[in-house]
Amino acid sequence: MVNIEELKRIENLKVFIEEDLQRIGKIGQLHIFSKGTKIFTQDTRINNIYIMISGDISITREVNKDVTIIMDKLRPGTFFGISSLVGIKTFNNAVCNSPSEVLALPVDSLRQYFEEVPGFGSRFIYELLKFYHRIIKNRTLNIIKAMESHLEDMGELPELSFLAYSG
Amino acid sequence: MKDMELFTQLPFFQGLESNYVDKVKEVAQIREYREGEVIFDYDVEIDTLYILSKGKVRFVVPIKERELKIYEANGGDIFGLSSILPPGYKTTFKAVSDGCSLLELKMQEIEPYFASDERFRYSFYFNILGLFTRKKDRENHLLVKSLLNLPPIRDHIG
Repeated sequence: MVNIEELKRIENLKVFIEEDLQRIGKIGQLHIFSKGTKIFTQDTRINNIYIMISGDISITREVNKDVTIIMDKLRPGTFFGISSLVGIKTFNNAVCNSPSEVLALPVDSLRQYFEEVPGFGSRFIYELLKFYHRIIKNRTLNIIKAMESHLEDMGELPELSFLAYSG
Repeated sequence: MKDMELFTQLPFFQGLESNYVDKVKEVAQIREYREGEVIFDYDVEIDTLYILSKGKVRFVVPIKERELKIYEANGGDIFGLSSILPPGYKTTFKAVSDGCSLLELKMQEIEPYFASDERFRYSFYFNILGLFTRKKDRENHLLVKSLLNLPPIRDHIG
């Protein structure tokens, strides 16, 4: 259970109406994870969707015992663990690099609310879609920026194949 | 109509209840695009969501005077996410046909159905989220694979 006033300070939750915040507050749990904590582990099924509130969290993928790739660094307000909502395994680990405050929303309770109040479901999913669009846009802009600075060194432009979802 | 039935076999429709599939069919249009035809441009507002049935669509972004190919969509892919988002959200890529057949959904035509049945809107959005999350998962696999295939740094510095 989380106080609504606490929720109102979380960036991506500011758009929700009061009733939605009450629903989120009823099922949400605030956690403060210590440095080094793995909030979730790659290739597992998880039961929560998370929103980072503060701290320093990296999204990583361990390729083998010697190589770990940092896939992303989260910013306050970022949703993560979205795979839990659609029932697929996590690809990544979420690792705290410093003490980090996180809101956890159990997906079973969340989906039950969505079924009971589809308007809440629409609004929540809509925010996730907006969030996805921002990720795609940012990644693309970063690629353009990186390419632009090396354009003169390149003959043919490479073909990228890993931006596999399209805005 | 037969073509429309083929479209409804695509993954996007599999997670929708049959009465919602019927509503989508009422407003959807099938359109063929010739090779090289632009479906939508980069960084513009669009009003249509696209589902690819046959053929291919390439996504490119402009870099100075040139175009960088980012991705090639195949059957079942859905694109044009910005069409369902609020005004101000613009396309991330330019979509160019390599010869394709698309199911086009004008969001303003489906909106009255959403307004009268919020569960339909929820199911529709949830389906899109599921497809995009799975694609993002595949993208992560490809990204890691491509990073692992890079030559070691020492090869670059000789």
